[in-house]
Amino acid sequence: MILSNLNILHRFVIFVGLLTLIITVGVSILGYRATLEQMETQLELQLKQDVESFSLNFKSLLVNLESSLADFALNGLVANALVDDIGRETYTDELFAGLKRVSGVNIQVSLVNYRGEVIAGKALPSNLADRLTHIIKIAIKKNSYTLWGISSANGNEFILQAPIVFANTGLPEGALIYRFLAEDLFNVILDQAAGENYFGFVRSFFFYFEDKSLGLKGQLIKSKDEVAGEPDIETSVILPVTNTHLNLSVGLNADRAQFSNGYKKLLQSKIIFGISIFILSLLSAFPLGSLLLRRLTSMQLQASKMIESKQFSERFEIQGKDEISLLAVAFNNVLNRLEYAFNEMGLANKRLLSEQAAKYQAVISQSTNAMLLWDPNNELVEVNKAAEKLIGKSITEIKRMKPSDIIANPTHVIEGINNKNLVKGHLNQLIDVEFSKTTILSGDKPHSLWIISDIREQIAAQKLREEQHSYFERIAHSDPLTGLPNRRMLNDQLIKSIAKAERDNGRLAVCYMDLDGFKEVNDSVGHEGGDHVLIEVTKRLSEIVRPSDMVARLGGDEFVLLLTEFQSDTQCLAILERVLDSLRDPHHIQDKIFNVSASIGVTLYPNDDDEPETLLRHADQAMYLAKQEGRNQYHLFNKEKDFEEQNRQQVLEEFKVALEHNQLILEYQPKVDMGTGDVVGAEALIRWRHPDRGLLMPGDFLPYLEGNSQTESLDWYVISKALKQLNQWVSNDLKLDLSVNISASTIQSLSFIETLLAELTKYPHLPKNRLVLEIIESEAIVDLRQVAAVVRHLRKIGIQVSLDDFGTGYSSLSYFRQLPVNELKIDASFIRDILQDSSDLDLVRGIIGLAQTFGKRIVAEGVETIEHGTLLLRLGCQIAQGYVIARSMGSGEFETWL
Amino acid sequence: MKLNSFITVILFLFSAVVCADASKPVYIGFDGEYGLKNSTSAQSIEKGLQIAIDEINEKGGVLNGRPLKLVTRDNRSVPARAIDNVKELAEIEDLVAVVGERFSPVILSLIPMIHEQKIILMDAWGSADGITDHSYKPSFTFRVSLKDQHAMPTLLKHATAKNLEKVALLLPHSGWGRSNEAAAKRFWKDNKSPQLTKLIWYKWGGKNQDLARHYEDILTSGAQAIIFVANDIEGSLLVKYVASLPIERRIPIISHWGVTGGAFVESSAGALAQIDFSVIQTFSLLNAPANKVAEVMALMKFRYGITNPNEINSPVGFGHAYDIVHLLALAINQAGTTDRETVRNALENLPDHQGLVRNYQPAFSATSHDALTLDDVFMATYDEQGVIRPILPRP
Repeated sequence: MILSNLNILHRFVIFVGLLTLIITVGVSILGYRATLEQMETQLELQLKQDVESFSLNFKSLLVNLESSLADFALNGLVANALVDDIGRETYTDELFAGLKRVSGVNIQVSLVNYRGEVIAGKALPSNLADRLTHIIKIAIKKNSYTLWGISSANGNEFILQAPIVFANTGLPEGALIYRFLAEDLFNVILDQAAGENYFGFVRSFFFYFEDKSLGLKGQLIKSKDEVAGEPDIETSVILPVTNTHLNLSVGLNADRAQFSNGYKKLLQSKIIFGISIFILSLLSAFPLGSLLLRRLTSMQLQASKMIESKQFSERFEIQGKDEISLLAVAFNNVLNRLEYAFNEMGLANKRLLSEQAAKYQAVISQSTNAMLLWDPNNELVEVNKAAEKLIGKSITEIKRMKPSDIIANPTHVIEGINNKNLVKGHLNQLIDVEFSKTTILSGDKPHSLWIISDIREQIAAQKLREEQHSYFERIAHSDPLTGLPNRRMLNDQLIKSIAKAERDNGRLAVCYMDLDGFKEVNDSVGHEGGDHVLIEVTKRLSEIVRPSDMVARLGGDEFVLLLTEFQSDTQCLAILERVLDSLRDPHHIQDKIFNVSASIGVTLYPNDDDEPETLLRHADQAMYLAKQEGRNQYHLFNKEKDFEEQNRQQVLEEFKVALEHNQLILEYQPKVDMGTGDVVGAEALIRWRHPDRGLLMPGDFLPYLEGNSQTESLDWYVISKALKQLNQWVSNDLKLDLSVNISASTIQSLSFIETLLAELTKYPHLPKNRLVLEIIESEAIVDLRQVAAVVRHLRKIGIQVSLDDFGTGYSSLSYFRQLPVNELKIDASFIRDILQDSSDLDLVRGIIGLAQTFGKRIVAEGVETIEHGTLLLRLGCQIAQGYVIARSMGSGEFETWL
Repeated sequence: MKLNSFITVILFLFSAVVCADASKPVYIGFDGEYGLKNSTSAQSIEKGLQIAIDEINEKGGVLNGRPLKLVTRDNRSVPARAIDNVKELAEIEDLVAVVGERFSPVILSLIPMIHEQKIILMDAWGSADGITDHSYKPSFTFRVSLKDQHAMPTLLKHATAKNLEKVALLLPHSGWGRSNEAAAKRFWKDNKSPQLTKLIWYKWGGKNQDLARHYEDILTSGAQAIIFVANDIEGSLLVKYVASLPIERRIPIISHWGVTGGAFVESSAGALAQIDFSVIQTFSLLNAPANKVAEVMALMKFRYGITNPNEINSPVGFGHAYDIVHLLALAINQAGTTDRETVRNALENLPDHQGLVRNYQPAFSATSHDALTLDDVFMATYDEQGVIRPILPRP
């Protein structure tokens, strides 16, 4: 209003001023805000990085404490103190005195026994001693490290415990405990932080801790300086600590105001700059404006004159082509056309209206949405083609219809867009639609416009997407062939079942099942046949197991049954019997019959209360044993057996290394003719110089090799070493036989003679009759006739053959009868008791008689005393080995002994 | 032979009838280190106890027909577990006494508690002097076993007898080790030979990796023999190490008897035959009265199927335990009750008794709770079969 009273020049000046003002202020504010926002993001980012590195410092301090504790728990004197009830105080005080601080944290050390009672070092805080004793006892039993937090008279304390394993039993029998104050921990971290410059913006450090099980909750705060006002940026992270009930987190905060002060100054300078521009533009706008308006002013004077004189025939003067000249031309035109325009106006109005109507018709008829326009009496006035198609009736028919004839849920017909509804279509079929209703005025009366779109396709597509999603969900957790849960789902379920069994004191069986004879199916009728069997097995299993159980397929022909909610182990095993029974039924594939059975390894929780993965492994090991025991059965996992098997494997592994690294050595025990006192030969005996276990005798490792190809490797190793030794004796002019033990499996191998001859060719000057091969009787000979042929061959080339340990092994007599050996060796176990035990004496007398009858040389082993020797001589046994003569010796010692 | 088994069957039936007579059993407790790896001593003590109990029950039991019954507990050689076990045993009605096991530190830790609760403790193996030499009056501990006071002089004199003039002591860091150190110091007050070159305490309970290093230190000290106080686990580690050395670096090991309490021979894997190893003993079935041995072996065959005396591992535990039951039975009958204090008093006033280990004249008195003396102690060695055989004194 005020503006309209001003002339254009003043307005122009004001406009220019305002414009300048708006632009300068706007630019300043926007720039300021953008910078502020950017800096805030940067501050938050910085703070996040700071809190991460702050928490890392914490974490590494805790790790330092934990590893210090673990090291200390391994100190031999600590375990010693645990079992040295009377007298340990003479050294524990000194031992613990050395540990006052770890990584800058003050530590209190306590040693507790298996009951969790302190037996050396600091007593537990009295307010919680009973509770702590109890939970420490449980932790020791579980053999696990744990961190707790408590609130004691000393303040907020953390308790870190490490179990101590008593080596003589291999079981945890106590624990070592570190206690330290939360505040101490916090201060060490703060000292570290003070030395690092990246906490520049940080105003306060926070340390929160909570142990719900022991009622500890607290926080520690350290602020750098006292700044007024609340800090308004704060961030914290949880410390990832394992084996604890303790929740630990650390936080940092910073003051935004301190951060943004610099930017406020920037804003001020921008505003001053804006005001200066504003004044400057005001001053320059005035002369500029008068110059621009000079010709306008003269036009205004001329027009005033025209009105005064009421003479409109005059026209304005045109100068140049600028806006003012154009204005003058326009005024002239206006004057020219003014009258004509009045006449034309009514006509133009009519044309406009009819164009709008045409557009409206086109929109309605072309729309793919059905459109219906109802008058206030619910009579249809307008219906389009899409509606005809949707409803399935002609327009004429539709026009006779009422809203309830068209819409299935007329009560849902409300003002608004995209409401879901159903339309009664052709043959009263219900069609899903989106329904919009608007009220429009037509001829000043309210009409109702319905716009209906068919959404059947959208719904179908949605449904398809959902089905696909659930399909993918299913194949991620199940085996596509059988539809059974896969390993991933089994693992999830196993964790849940163990947790449930633990909670309810329940039982749980993990049964690892592998099909016997499945490979034959695949080999014979291909993988499709195999798949058929797998599906059939799945079906049979599903009929047997209860809803609480789970059958999973791990791949191939491996299944796992997870049985729960059984009352006794017997009940569980009965289920497995049924499983074995049902799987035994033959499978008919492509007119062939296949017998497939199962081998199952079972481990029972809580007897076996390990981690889920370990339970599976145990079940797998037991399954392996079930296979070995002849398949088609289950085998219960047994820790000791498992251990025994591992032990055997370990010896086999180590033995391989022993062969490669010359850990095996030969010792020689002399054989003496007791009649003449002459040394007639020696027996090569194997010893294992084990790097960890010291010198091992054959009894310590041979049983583990039995049935393994290593026995053969060992025999050849011994033969090769013995031949070398024998050759050396021959070159030193020593007239001695050398006996070498050889196992039944080696002599039964087809290439035996060939390999032996190859070994012998290395020593062309060695008389072959110096070598005696002693067949060990402890192993069964499968084909006696074949071995007899080998023995005959050996004797033909001059090698002597002996039957070792005669009388102890399998069918001694049939060996004796069928194997044409030179020599019999009576086992030491018979010789030992001949002085006291008349039945042993009879046996030895019998063996000697037997040998004499068949002309075999007889050697007695294990002759310990002169009395034994005398008796044997009297019985007719000349040659003897044993302690009374000499024990076995290394080759050097042996030669000296000679 | 046939007659013997017939009598056994008759006796067995008879004892079954007595049992059925609703006579309440009289209990003897045993807390042993069963759970310890390779241990045989707890099993051997249990056999000794059980055989004596069988024998007494066949002859009508105690207190006019009440059978004796054995209750056992496992302490895994851990003192804290032993205390819990003995507390639990003491609560059994008519339990007269608890028999103690191989580990001296375990028994030593029981002493305050058993005197507080007035429980009789019969030591069948532990040798620490403090087991009977303590200040509790009246004392509730009785021992039918070796005492370090006698063991240490015997071990040291054995070195001298072998002309080994310089010895080193290798002792466990425990009450047992300390008891032996004290005994050795007493010995050296009156004796000059053998000379001590080095005293080493080794740690036990943890993984013992130090024995090889200790042995090397001992060799460096110039010792000609080791006086070794240890159990079977440490024993076999040392023996195997020594046997793996060249022969000129092996020196004799003169050992206290803890080694005989476990599968020492088996764990030593033949190494024993490679070195000069002798061990102290108090009892050998090979020296015991023949008629007693025959009686015991008949019962052993019946209950455990063992016919050869050599198959009894850890023989000292067997012998001591066997005699302990007989001495307890005498005391119970003399007391006429299972009341522990009355039985304790009776133990101090027993008549003479011919046992398996020795002739007790009598076993205990108010001033001495040690049934064995220096005369019972001898040195032995392992033969090729792993049987402990006494070393006969040189003529």
